[in-house]
Amino acid sequence: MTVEERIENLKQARLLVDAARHDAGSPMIEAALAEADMNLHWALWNLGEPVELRPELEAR
Amino acid sequence: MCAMEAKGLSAKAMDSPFWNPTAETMPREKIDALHDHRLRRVVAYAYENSPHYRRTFDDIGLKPDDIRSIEDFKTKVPLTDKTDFLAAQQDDPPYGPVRALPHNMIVHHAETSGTTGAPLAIPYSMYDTVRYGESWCPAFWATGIRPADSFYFAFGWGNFAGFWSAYWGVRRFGSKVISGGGLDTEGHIKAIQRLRPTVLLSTPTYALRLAAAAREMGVDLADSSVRFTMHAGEPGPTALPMVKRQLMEGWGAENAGELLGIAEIDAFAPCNSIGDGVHVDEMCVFSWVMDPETGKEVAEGEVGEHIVTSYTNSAQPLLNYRTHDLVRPRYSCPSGRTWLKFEGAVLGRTDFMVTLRGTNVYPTAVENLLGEAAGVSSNYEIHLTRPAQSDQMEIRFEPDPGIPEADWAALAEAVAGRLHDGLMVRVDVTPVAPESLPRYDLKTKRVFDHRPKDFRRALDR
Repeated sequence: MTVEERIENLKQARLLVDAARHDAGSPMIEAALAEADMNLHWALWNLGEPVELRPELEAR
Repeated sequence: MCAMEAKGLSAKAMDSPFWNPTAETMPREKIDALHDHRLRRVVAYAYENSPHYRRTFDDIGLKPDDIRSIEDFKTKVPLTDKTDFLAAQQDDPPYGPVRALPHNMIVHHAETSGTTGAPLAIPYSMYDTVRYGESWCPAFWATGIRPADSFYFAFGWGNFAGFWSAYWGVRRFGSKVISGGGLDTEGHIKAIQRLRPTVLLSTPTYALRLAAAAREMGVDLADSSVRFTMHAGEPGPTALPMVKRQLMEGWGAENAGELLGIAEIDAFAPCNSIGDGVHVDEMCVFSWVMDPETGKEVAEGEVGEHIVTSYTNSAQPLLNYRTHDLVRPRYSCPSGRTWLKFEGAVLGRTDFMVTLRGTNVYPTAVENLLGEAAGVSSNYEIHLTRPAQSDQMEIRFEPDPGIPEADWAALAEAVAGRLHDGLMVRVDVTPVAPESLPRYDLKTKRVFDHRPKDFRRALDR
């Protein structure tokens, strides 16, 4: 897998996490998925993707 | 289940020479393009979220859109200094107007060590703690440490950011954490014997002190379970090769690693695999090196002051921050890392730089020569004075305990000769009785500057 393909997979993963997180109504699930999204953002950052400084600053 | 699987890393990952190969070997053009993007974002973020930066920028008529390049960032964004932030925090504790996130997003409070004055308060968001911890991992990996190792933390658990960031780092790395909190030196040695960690984490001088204390207890730590020692907080095995040898011999270690960090910035500069310098983690910070006299950027290979901007601490952004550390920048390294390298780590402090008869002398150069001098223990102090309008340096050292007092004068003469050969200037050398100099559990105070304040560039000036 190329870096570009891995970046694309990570972006897709964030969309899936975001969908699962939306309106979950469970503090546990929402907290766990917020952390999952944070780690995916961090992986993108470290692969050199020009993402925002923090996930919540992104228009999504 | 094998250890590799337990840590979630594949065999391919375990074979990687780098913790983060994509980032650590990223081409310079790509790194610079990222800085160009990230610096603009960090400027906009600071302006939009931190009252301190908004006021500072407004005062000089600077808008985030004025920053269109890395060069713009270096030359237009004002330099910042710890003293500015300390004053602001004292006016409005605990964080003052620099804070850029609401209090309900701050999950951890830490502080600087207070070595150079009052401690600076540091707020962290959850993400900040993850990023700060991650910064330790390239140093662990380059030293040869792997997630199956276990870390013994030979320090207390107060508010000092260095302790906590190391903890976050080991958690991120996936290794076992063994806390030495609440124990004295003897307690640490007994805990290491009982709990059998494979990595010791401490300041380098405290690691040497532990080894010496163990010998007095009849314990040879070279036979202990520890295979690696990892250090921060003061010049260590990268800056001082003799200290590296002493650490490896004293602990019977395969390697001794080092990380350069600044509590309020990040654990930003891991050692490399060949041990000749530290590299700025350019995923976490942006660094450049400035001539402290002219304010201009120095050329590669020239010594200057490290100026750093953190991408890590979004709760308290620090932009163009003066570290007062003197470094020698390099942009290539046989280790394969492409991150900006500081050859020999930190060479000294701008506030402790001394000019002896026209020659700039850096304390680490003195320390390296002392470390190589036979009969000189690792306990010494460097005193700076300014009689008759010229800087003077005096070295006070404890001879090795086995050397009779009658031989101290000859030893001091030999040491002075060695220092003269290495530095090309003569310094005063005074032997003092073994065990007479103070010992420190955290950062060892080596340099004592007695010069009038007008003649030094000290933080408390």
